[in-house]
Amino acid sequence: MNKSYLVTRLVTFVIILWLASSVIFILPHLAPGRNPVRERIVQQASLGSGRVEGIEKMVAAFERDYGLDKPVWKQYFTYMGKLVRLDLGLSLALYPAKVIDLIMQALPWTIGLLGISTLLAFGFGSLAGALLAWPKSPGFIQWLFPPLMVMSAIPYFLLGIFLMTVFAFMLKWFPIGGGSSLTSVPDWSFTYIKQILHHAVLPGLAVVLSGIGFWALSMRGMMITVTGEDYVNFAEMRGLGSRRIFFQYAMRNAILPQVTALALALGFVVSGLVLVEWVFRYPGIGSLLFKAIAAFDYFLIYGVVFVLILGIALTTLFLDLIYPLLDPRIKYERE
Amino acid sequence: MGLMMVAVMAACSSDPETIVETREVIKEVEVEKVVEKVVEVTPTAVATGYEEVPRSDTMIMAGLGGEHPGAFTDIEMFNAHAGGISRSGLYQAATEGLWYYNMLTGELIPWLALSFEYDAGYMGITVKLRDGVEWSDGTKFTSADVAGTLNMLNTNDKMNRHGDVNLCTKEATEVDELTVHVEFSKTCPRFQWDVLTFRADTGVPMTPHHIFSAQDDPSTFSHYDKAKGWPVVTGPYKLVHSDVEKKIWDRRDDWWGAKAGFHDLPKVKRLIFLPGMNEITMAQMLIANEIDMAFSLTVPNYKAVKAQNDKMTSHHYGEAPYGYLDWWPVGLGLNTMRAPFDEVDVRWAISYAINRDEVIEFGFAGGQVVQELPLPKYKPMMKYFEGAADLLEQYPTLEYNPEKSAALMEKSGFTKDSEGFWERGGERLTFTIVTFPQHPSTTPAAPVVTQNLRRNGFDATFVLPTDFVSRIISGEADAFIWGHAAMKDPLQTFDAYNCKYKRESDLEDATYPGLYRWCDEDYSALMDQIQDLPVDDPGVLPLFVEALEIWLKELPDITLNSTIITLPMNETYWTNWPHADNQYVHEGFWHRTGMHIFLNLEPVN
Repeated sequence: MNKSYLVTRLVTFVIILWLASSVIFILPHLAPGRNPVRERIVQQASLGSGRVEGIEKMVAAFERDYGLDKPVWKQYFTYMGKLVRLDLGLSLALYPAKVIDLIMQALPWTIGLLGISTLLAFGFGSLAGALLAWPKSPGFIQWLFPPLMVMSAIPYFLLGIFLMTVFAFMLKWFPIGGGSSLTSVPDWSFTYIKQILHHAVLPGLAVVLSGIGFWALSMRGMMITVTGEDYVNFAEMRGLGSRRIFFQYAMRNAILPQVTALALALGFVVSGLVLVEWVFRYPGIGSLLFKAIAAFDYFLIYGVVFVLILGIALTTLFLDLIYPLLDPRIKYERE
Repeated sequence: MGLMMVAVMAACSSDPETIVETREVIKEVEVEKVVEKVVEVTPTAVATGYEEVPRSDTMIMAGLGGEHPGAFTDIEMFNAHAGGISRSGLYQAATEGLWYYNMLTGELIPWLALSFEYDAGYMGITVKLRDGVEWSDGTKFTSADVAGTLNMLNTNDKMNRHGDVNLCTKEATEVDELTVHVEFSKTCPRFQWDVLTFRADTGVPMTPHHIFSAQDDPSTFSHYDKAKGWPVVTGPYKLVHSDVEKKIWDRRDDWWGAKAGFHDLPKVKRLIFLPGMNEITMAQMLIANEIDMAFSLTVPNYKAVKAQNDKMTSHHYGEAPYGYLDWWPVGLGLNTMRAPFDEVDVRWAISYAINRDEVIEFGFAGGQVVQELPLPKYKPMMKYFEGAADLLEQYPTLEYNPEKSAALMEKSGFTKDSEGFWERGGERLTFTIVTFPQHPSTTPAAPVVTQNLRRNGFDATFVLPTDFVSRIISGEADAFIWGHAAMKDPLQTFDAYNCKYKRESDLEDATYPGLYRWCDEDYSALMDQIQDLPVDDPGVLPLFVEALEIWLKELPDITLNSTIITLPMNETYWTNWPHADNQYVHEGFWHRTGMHIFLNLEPVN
C-alpha cells in the first residue's frame, strides 16, 4: 500500500468524522420549541413541588453553564473544540455526570455481549452457509435451510422474549435478565465471571439465532458462485483433499464480502441493540441512547452517536487497510 | 408469553370491581405461628471485602419510582443535591429527615430534630436538634450541618431544591450546637412543612458540613470515595457497592439510632436497589421470588402475579382497591388561554362528557377511585372535602351527563357536523390529549377519556410522547392529564391556578406548576392569603371554600381520578409490610419515607 493512499484514507476519515459530528450537532437544534434544561428541572420540580421563581434561576444557571445561552454558531465551535480533545461534556439530564463516564460504564456490556454474539453468529452462520452450498456436505445439512430462513425473519427482541419465557421463566435454567446475579457484589472472581456468562447466554442466544440466518444465507450465495470457479475445479482435478479445497480455496474467497459486512456489523454493535437490552435489562449503550433521546439530553446524544460514528469509521478504516492482506489481488498502488 | 396471556385474561374478566370511594379497611388477621418453613435461599457470590449476607436477610427492590430505566447512570454520584440522582437508597436508606410525615395517618414524626418555633410574623424559625446523632465517620451531627446545607442551597443555583430554599431563606445560623435559626427574607409560615420535613419526595436532605464546606463547587461534588468511606451519612445503611445494575447498602451496626436507644437496628441487613424496568419483567421477578418489592403494577398484572405466587400481598391484602392512596390525584388540564378552552361552558361541557366510572372500570380495572376535587382523601384533607360539600352539590365535578354537555356546547354556538362532532363557524373542535407514556394513574386513563369525549361529540385523540413535559410547558398541548401535589392542606394543588403563573399567550412557556394558564385576581388573592398561613391552619378552610367557589364555577381543571399505587410486596422473606390496617408508612420505597419500611420489616425466618 503506498503512502499517498494511506494519507488520503486518513484525511477522508477525519472529514467523515467532522461531517457526521456537524450533522448530529445540527439535528437536535432543528427540533422546534424544546428546552431540555427546563424540561429536566420541571420534571424534578414536579416530584417535590418546586417553586416558580427558583426554577427560572436554575434554568438560567444551567443554560449559562452549558453555553446554551450563546448563539448556535458559538455553541458549534465550542462543541467542535471540545470534541477534538475528546471532551464530550456533562450530561444535561444526569448533571453533573460526564458523558464519557456514562458511555464508558455502558460500553463494556454492549461490546462484550453484542460483540461476542455478532462474532459467534458470523462464525457459525458463515460455516453453515458454506456447508449448505458445498456439494459434498452431509445430507442432513440441507435440513438447516428452512429453520435458518425462519430465524432470520424473526426480530431479535421477539426471539429474546420467547427464550426468556421458556428457559428463564418456565424452566428456570437461566436468570430473568440482568448482567449478573441480583445478590452478588461484583468482583473479578471466577464465580462472578461465571455469573456474567450465565446471564449472557439468553440475550446472546437471541442475537446469535436471529443473526445466524443472515450470515448463512449470504455466505451460501457467495459459495455457490465460488464453487463454480475454475481454480476450484482445478484444485479438485489435482486431487487436493476435500477439506482443504473447502476451507482454503472456496470459503477463503467467498468470505471476503462477509468480512466487509462483519466490519460494518461490528461498528454498529457499539450502538447497542436497544430492544434486546430493554428486554433483558442489560445495562448497555442502547439503553443509554434511548434515555438520552427521551430526555432530549443534547450532550449525551452527541456523545453516544459520536462514539457510534467513531466505531463505524474506525472499523471501515481498519478494513480498508487490511484488505490487501486478505486478498492479494487488491492493491492500492498507482499503476 | 404465558404471563401476558394470563394478564390479558385477567383484564378481560367478566367480574369488574367498581370502586365508589376509599375506605379504611380494618381486618382481623389470624396470625399463624410458623414452626417450620422451607425457604429457598439463593447462594450469594461473595466478593473479597464484602460481608456475606444471606438472601433471607436481604431486601431487593426493583423499579424505583420509574426513573433510570434499564441501568443506573449515577453510580458514582451521592450528592443528594445534584441533578440526575436516582432514588436508589441515598434518600431513603442513608439520609434522614429532621421530621418525617406519614401522609396516610397525618402523623408528624420528629427524627433528627425535636421541635421548631417560628419567629413573630413568621420571619424566621428556630429548630432544636436531637442530641446523639452522628455521621458515619463518627462526627457529631450539629446545627452546623443544617445551617451549612441551607446556606449552600440558598446560594448555589444549580443544586436541587435551590428554588425552595431560596424563596424564603435569608441566612441560617448556628445558635448553639443543637439549635439553628433560619432568618427569612419574607414571611414563610410553611418553611418547616415545605423544606424541613421528609414526605414523599419533599424535604431537604442534610449534608455533612465538614465535608461539603471544603468543596470548591458543591454542585458537581460527587460525595463518593470508597477509600474515605464517602458518602458519609447518618442513616442506618452505608453504601457498599454501586454499579449500573444495582446499588447495595448494608446495615450499619454503629448507627446512632441504636447506640442512643432511639430505635432498634433494622432487621434488614442488606438493601439492593435495582433500576427502573418494564412491568412484565418486574412481575416475572416477583413470581420467581427474585425480588421482594417492585414499583407499581397494573391491577391485572398484580392479579396475575398473585395467582402464581401466593406470597404476594398489597396494601389492601389483595382486595380492591389494592394499593395505597398516593398524593397525586389526576385531572384533565386544558390550555385555558386557547379557544375554545377559554370558555367556561366548554370546560364544563367536557367535564359532563366524561364517565369517570368507565375510566375506573376500563382504564384501571377497578384500581383507582374517583374524586370530586384534585386532592388526596387523606385524613387531614377530609375537612376540606366536607367544607366544600355544598359547593360540590352546586357544581358536580363527577357528574356524567351527555345532555348537559350538549346543552352547554349548543349554548356556546356549537353544532354537530355530519360525523357527529362539535363544530362552530365551520371549524370542528379537534384537540389532542397529552400525558405520560408510562404512569400508573394517567396513562391508562387517556384512551378511556378520549373515547368518552369522542362518543359525546368531541374530536379528541391522545398521544403518549416521551417529550410530554415539553409539549405541556410550551403550550403545544391543548389538553393534558397531569397530577396535583398536596398532602395536608389544599394550597400546593390550588396555588397552581394562581395569577402569578399567568402567561401572555397560550404558546408562551409555562412555569411549573402553572400549566393551566388560568387567572382570576380574586382567586389569586385568596391563595396568597392562604400562603401566609401555616399549613392546615384553621384559617385556611374558609379562605379555601371562598376560592373554591370561584374555581368550581370556572373549572380550569377537570377532575378525573385518584392515584392509587398498587405496589406488590412479597412475603417469602419479609413480613410486617405496610397495610391498610398497619399504616406505619406508605409503601413507596422510592420516597424519602422509605426508611420506615426498612426499619419495620420482620424476617419470615
